[in-house]
Amino acid sequence: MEKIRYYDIRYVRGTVTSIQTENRVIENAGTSFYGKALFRVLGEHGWGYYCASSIDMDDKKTKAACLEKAAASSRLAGVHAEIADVPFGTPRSWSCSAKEQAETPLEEKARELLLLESSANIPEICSTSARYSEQYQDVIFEDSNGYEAASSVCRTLFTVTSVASRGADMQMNYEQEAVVGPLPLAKYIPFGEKCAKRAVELLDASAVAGGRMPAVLDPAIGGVFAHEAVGHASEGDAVRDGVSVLAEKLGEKVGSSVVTIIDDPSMHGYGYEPFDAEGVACGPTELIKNGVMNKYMHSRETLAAVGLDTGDAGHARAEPGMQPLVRMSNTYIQEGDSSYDEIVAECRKGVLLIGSRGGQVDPGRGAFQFNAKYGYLIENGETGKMIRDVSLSGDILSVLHNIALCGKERKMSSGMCGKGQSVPVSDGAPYVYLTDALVGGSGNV
Amino acid sequence: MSEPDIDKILSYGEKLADEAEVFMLDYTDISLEQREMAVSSVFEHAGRSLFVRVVKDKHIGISGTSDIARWKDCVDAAVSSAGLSEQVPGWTGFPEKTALPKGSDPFDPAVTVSPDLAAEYLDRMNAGAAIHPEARIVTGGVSLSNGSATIANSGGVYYMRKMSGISLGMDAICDTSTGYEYDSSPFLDRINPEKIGEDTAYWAKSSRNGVDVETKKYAVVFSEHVVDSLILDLFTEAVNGKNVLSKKSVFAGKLGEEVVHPSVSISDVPMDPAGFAWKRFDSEGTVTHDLSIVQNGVLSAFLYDVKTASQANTASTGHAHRAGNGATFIHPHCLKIDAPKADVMDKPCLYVREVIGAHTANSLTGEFSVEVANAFFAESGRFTRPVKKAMISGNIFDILRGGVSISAETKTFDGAIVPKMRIENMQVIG
Repeated sequence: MEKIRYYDIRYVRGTVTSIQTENRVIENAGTSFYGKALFRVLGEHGWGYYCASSIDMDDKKTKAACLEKAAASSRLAGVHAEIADVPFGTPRSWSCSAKEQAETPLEEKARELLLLESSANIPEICSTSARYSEQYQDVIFEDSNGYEAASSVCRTLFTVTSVASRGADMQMNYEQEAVVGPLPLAKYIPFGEKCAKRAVELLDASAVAGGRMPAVLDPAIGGVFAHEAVGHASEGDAVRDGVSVLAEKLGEKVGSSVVTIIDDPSMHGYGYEPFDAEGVACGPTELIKNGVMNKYMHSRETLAAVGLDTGDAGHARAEPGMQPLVRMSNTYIQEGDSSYDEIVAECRKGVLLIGSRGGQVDPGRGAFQFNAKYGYLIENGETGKMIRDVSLSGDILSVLHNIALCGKERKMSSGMCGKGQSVPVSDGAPYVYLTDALVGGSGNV
Repeated sequence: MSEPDIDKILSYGEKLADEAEVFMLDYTDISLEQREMAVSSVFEHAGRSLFVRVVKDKHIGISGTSDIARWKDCVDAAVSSAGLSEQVPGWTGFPEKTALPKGSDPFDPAVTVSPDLAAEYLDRMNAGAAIHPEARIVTGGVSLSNGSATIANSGGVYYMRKMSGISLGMDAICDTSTGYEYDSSPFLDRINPEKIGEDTAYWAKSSRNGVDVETKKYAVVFSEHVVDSLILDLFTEAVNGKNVLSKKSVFAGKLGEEVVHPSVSISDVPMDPAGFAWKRFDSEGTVTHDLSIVQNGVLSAFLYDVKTASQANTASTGHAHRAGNGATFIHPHCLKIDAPKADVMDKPCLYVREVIGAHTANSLTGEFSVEVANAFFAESGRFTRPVKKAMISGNIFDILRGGVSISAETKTFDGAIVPKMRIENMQVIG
């Protein structure tokens, strides 16, 4: 029988409590429970995985049986893999147990969510909805070298959505806040009205005519650029497999000197992980430093494959019961020294894009696309008419070189990132000025 | 209990509420992933998911768990949940037991959860890809699964559906041009691994050396992938009864009105022989049936589950699916679109095989602005030049109102049988 070179067990269990309201009525509210254990074995010829739905971690017999199943799978693999020997680090512990949040009765949270949603009920709003979720998740990790780690993290979020209508025209807006730790809903009740007012304003916005033009990105859509365009292309598996335009660029100038982009799992953002899915705790990784490709994000395997001096391990993440993949956590463009007014003035004639409706990237081709929630035309260095249904696309390397200015203040936004598996992340940026961008839209303005 | 006893769970639920319901998924699966043209990892998974709903005085409570040993906690949590949720006016109760229509389950005994079978299909994909050696295969994967879904309620419903599945995916790169292809089916003989491999490599190889595009309006042909992910996804949102009830649909209040071109009809045919998701009953036990949604341009029906149908004072159309927390959501089983058939690539066009960012489209208004991938200028049914880079913009409801032509040949996805679609005068930004 071939030997087991390494194994680890990652048991994730938790509860999710959610409340959904629709037009000021509680649609549903309740709690679900989950527990999944992933047994991962590295054999002579690659990885084998076995996922069990739930397990008693003190039951040595069951654990041994599950490990044997993973070992049997590993014997079917045919690609030799190494894992880098890295320090496991010291997890940075933020206040994330949210004891007070857990002790607040669900009825009170439901009442506050209804108040938040109700604040969106203003003239011309025809529909509103809101959602609240709190998740308590425990991770228990152990490996074949006797290393053990455990964590408990609470994540809470709310989303409020408003639909405005006038005649046959309808427009929608949503606002979201998602954090690690407690999120006192009472503090966010005005968010409903803020969301609704923007939806109403969108009724008067115009669809933009697409084309090449200068653009200013707000912190939310600038953050999506950092995540989609640079982050995914800096993931060690894409680099190892040669499907990233940023592969083999370490030490090369890939963007303008004002661009520094960082991923930091230890930051107190929505993507915070005390340690990653391989038990490794790491701090910030500077992906691009002053325009130069500096480091890649790695798992222990991709670090060994690409080179020990090519970046940091500690970036492996996984859904409960799923195999670790190289992923981002909290990704951002570092602040520059320009004011917002200076950036808009410098743009002179172009568009200001605000908020994100999501994005996607093909890191091999270097192409990305994302949509803004709305924006404004910039004319004579000042913001003018509101625009909607506007998107931005481009190729990563060109756009990085086109970043001329970065603002002084950075803001982070929270969300989920899909790469076969869905994990919580945050991204952010200061206001960013692009000298040339491909803007999409189907209108005439 | 070592094996979940559904009757016991229902009995416990009935003691605490007026009605109880259990939906249980039982599954095993194996996945082989390939890197460097060899199997790099093997993943096996076996598990169950339990979803419980209870109804107390017309208040619906939900819960779910992947830990079957906690079934009692799950029922208790569903009862607590019912205490918080609003009463459902007009609640008609969970579906009653009835004779199921004849038909087969989406199950093929030939789909065994076996590494040998998965390895065979991986090898066959690689053989197909080898036809275009200029392209380098980056990753590939094969997954095999089988299992069952059981729905039971205190009204006597106790139905089980057997399910199997095979899914294949592969991606390739050629210079900086990429290609990706995938397919899935419950049935082994409907999967052609050699073609998936060949197409993957072809898209990567043939998309090299793209030309610039002038910004203007073009005749555009969407591939089946794009029709599914852009056109049908947004259309599905608009005919979802829940969105209609909550006024989040541009079709709300338009039953009986012409909403698309009179040459276009759209229906849901759950047991269509060419479909994949054969369902004689939905995930709450309502018997399914064919449903005409748009007939000759006129909106004729919305999709409902039991709860939203009760709220809309109508009957469920049997379109309940199940989300991770046990709540139902509404989705079609097998959408089909009918429109004038044509050789859509005969006249000059811009063929768009894939788009980047389909999910960023505005689900309420239908506006989209997305980047094309693997796009080509085509004439007389042949690709003439690949496109380097372009964005397309428009509104899917305007597209359907303006009239389209579709191909006779179709591709089957999980929830739809989809043709290619030709759209005249679409804005393309180069």
